[in-house]
Order: sequence, then C-alpha cells, then structure tokens
Amino acid sequence: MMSFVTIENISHVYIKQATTLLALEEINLAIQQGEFISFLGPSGCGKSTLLSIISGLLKPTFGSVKLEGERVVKPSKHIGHMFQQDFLLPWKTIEENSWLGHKIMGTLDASIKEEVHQLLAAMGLGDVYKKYPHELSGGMRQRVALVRTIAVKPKLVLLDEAFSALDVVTKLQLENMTQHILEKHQMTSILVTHDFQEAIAMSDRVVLLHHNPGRIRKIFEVPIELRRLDPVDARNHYMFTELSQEIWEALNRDGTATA
Amino acid sequence: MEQQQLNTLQRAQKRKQQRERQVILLTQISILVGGIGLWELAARLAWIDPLLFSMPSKIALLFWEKWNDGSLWIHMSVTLYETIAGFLLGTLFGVMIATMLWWSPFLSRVLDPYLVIFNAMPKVALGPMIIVAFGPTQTSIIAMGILICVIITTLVVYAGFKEVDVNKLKVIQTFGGNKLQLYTQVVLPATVPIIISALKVNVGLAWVGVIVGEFLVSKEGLGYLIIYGFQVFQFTLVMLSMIIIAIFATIMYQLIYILEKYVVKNNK
Ligand SMILES: Nc1ncnc2c1ncn2[C@@H]1O[C@H](COP(=O)(O)OP(=O)(O)OP(=O)(O)O)[C@@H](O)[C@H]1O
Ligand SMILES: [Mg+2]
Repeated sequence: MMSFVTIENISHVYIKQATTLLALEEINLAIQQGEFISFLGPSGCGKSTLLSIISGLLKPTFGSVKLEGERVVKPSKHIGHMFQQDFLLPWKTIEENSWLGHKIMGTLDASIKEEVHQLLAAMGLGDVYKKYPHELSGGMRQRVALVRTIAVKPKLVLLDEAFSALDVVTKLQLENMTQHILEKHQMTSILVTHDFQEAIAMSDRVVLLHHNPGRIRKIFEVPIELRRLDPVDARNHYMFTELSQEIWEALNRDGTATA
Repeated sequence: MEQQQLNTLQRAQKRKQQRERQVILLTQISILVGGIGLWELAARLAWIDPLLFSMPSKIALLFWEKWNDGSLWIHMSVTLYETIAGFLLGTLFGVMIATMLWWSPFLSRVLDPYLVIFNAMPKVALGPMIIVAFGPTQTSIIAMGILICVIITTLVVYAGFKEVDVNKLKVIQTFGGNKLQLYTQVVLPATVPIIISALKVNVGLAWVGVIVGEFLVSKEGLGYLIIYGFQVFQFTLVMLSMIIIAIFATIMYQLIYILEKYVVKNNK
C-alpha cells in the first residue's frame, strides 16, 4: 500500500559563505493517512529544517518528499505548517489572522468566519477577536497561530512546538482539543516537541532524532491502548509510564536529554 | 494598594505631565514672541540692515495689503496645489517603482547603480531641461516637485520591502499564496510606516522642488514672489513668502504626523 507521506533519503546541507553544515542525513520515513507522528530530539538537530522540507518551503539538498505519491516541490494548501514562532501579522486583528488562510485561498465567507470564531473560542480566545497580536500574551498568540493553521483543514498538519509556550493546564487542554479536531477531520499530523511525555500522549509513533547530523535514531510505537485515550488520560495509564521510561533511557544513553 | 490610592497616584502623574507640557509650550511661545520682538527692535534701531532683513511690522502690513487685494491668495493656492501634487505623486511613483523592483529582482539588480547615481545628482539642476521639455507651465513645476522626491522614495521604500520578515512571507506561502498576495497581504502593509516617513521627508523636498520650479518659470506662486522680491529689492516680500512657506510646510508635516499616529498604531 502506498503511504500517505513518504520521506525518502532526505539530507540537507546549509551552505553559508564560509561554512557548510550537514543538518539532516538520510532521513527515511513513511507515514500513513491519519497517523500522528512526533519528532523528538535535542535543540538544533534539524527538526524545524525537516518540517520546512516536508512543507515544501525548503528544497532539500538530497532526497524527496511525496504527499499521496506526488512530489512536494513548493508549499501547498494541502500542507499546513505552524511555525515555531507565531508570525502573526501585526496589522491584522486576531480574527483576521485566524482566517488568513481562507482569505488567501479565496474561500472566506460568513460560515467560515463563524467556524473560526468557534475554534478561537474553544482555544480560550473568545474575547479577543478584535484585538491585535501585540495585545496578547505569547501563549495566546501561539494558539492563534494554531487556529490559523488548522482552520483551513489541510490534509497534513505540521506543528513546530505547538504547545511549548503554555502553562501545564492549558497545554493539556489544548492537546486534547487539538487531537479531537485533527481526528475529526482525519488530518495526518507531525508534531515537533521537546516534551517526550507530550509526544507519547499524542502520537501513534515517536521518532527520536540524533544530533549532528540529524538522523533518525529510533522509532517508538505507542501501544494501541494509549492511542485510544485522550492525551490527558493517556498520561495516567501504566503503559505510558513504561514507554516514558524507555524513551527517557534512550534519550539519556544518547546524551541528548531535552525534556 | 487601594484603588483610591492608585487613582490618586495616576492623577498626580497626569498633572505632572501636563505641567511639563505647559512649561515647554510656554517657553516655545516666549521664544517666538521674543524673537519677533527682537527682530523688530534690531531693525528699528538699525542694528541690522532693515532694507535687507525687513521687519515684522512691515511684513504684517504687506501681508494685510496683499491679502486684501486678493493677489497673495492666488500665489499661495498655486504653490500649495503644486506642492501637494508634487509630493503625493512623487511618493506614489516612488512606491510604484519600488514595487516593480521588488517584483523583478533582475530589474532591481540592473537598475541599482543607476538609482544610486541618479539619487546623488542635484536634481534641481535638471530644472531647465524640464522647462524646455514641458514648457514654462505648472506641469513643469509639479514635475520638479516629483523629480526631487521620487528617487529617494524609491530607494527607501524598496529597502523597506526587502526588510520584510521572510517568515511572514512563508506564512502566506504555506497557504499557497501567490506573489500578488505576498505583496498585498504582507509586503505593502509591513512597509506602511516607512512610506509614511517617506511622506514626511518628501513634504520638505517637494517644497524645494516647487519653489525652484517657480523661480525658473517665474509666473506665479510664492517662489515667483521670492524671486520677484529679490529683483525689485523688496525683501519684505521675500520674507513674507518664506514665512508663509514655513507655516504651510509645518501644517502639512503635522497632518502627516497625525496620519502616522492613526495608521501605524498596530504595525509593530
Ligand atoms: N537558515 C539557516 N542557515 C544556516 N544554518 C541553519 C539555518 N537554519 C538552521 N540552521 C542550522 O541547522 C541546524 C538545525 O536547525 P533547526 O532549526 O532545524 O533545529 P531544531 O531541531 O528545530 O532546533 P530547536 O529545537 O532549537 O528548534 C542548527 O544547527 C542550525 O544552526
Ligand atoms: Mg526548531
């Protein structure tokens, strides 16, 4: 069976005038439709680089990415990419920022606006529609960026540290909500995170990356029992503790613990 | 702290700021009044040559006279119209050329040295050529106003276009946005503050272009009054024209300042 996303032999070299840096080396991964994958790895191991390559923003030095058998060569509306920083447009209000994708695609109408409002409200941003980004906290802005990305319901969603700037309670709530939305629309997702517990709680598979150059070190399958549970409930399951232990040891053995 | 205490603190702070503002305004007015008084005194006591420097009372009298016979109004409105047209069109053309350069990196790299050279040239020196090209008309004068601010606007705005955060452009790209959408959704709005500060600079520049244009065409306008005043040795007229220009330039500058405050509020 053909995979939904195929990452084939991706290597990437950053070339600057004086230096070259091998950021990624021979990354291979096949992702099934509806799957949730997490990339876990130390800072600077090339996670953001890999996401940019998958979303077609960055051309890899070697290798290719295919979405439903078609090679990704430029950004497309089918791939949503939430960046590590929010990059909201300061001259647009929160609601305008949130439905920017629809505006660009020419699909913005009253029902979409209503839908975006509901998404914002669900993310605890119900009373800031008309505010401007600089009036919001970092965590709030991050949520707006998340809404902006998933509002257009891309087939593949790339989330670069989507829940990093949040307090623990909000983070857990958002993980739950995001997972529901992603499942409801059958979106395939890749999450980059430093938090291995978050990775386990949300994913079907956790991909552990190696530092310098970035390489896949190990892939952990999350047991089916955990996948069925909400991220919050999953954390209380005994199997969660076992897998955490396993990943924690792997991280430590590598000398690359990040959480 | 109690709400009441906070309110008291806030009021005290406000009062202090208000007092400071009043002191500054008062000092500014004193300098103006004192300056005018000193000028008058110096001219009357012949510390300075009254023929050359005129004196405030004479200028005021001349203003009254010229205002009543309606001639001053004509000259004022002509120059004002030319200046506004010159600086608005100059800025508009500048932004348009900058847009073309942004659109075509090839064009921008080809034109780069020419723009720099052209910018370094004393543009008023091209005045006579423009008069020959367009004739001694108002069009020539406006063209001077445009010429003097268009290149610098192009350079400044184009530099602003290039400084736009590439990550914001990437956001548009991830939604499959095209080049026109990059421009309208990010590049242009991000550069609005720079365009407005270009407007500010251009107000001053356009006055220079237009006044020089009126020197050359020598038909009507405040520039014409200045050159005419020099020719007939009537320096009161020269001074009057300069003061009017200064007042108009200040008003236009203030208007742009208000526009800036209004528009740039959320553009950080
Ligand atoms: N545009 C660039 N030019 C040159 N080098 C770059 C560029 N972007 C990233 N790098 C380098 O490539 C490596 C991987 O960077 P990347 O941002 O992908 O890491 P990351 O895993 O996302 O890190 P973090 O967890 O801190 O976000 C780093 O060593 C970084 O310095
Ligand atoms: Mg990163």
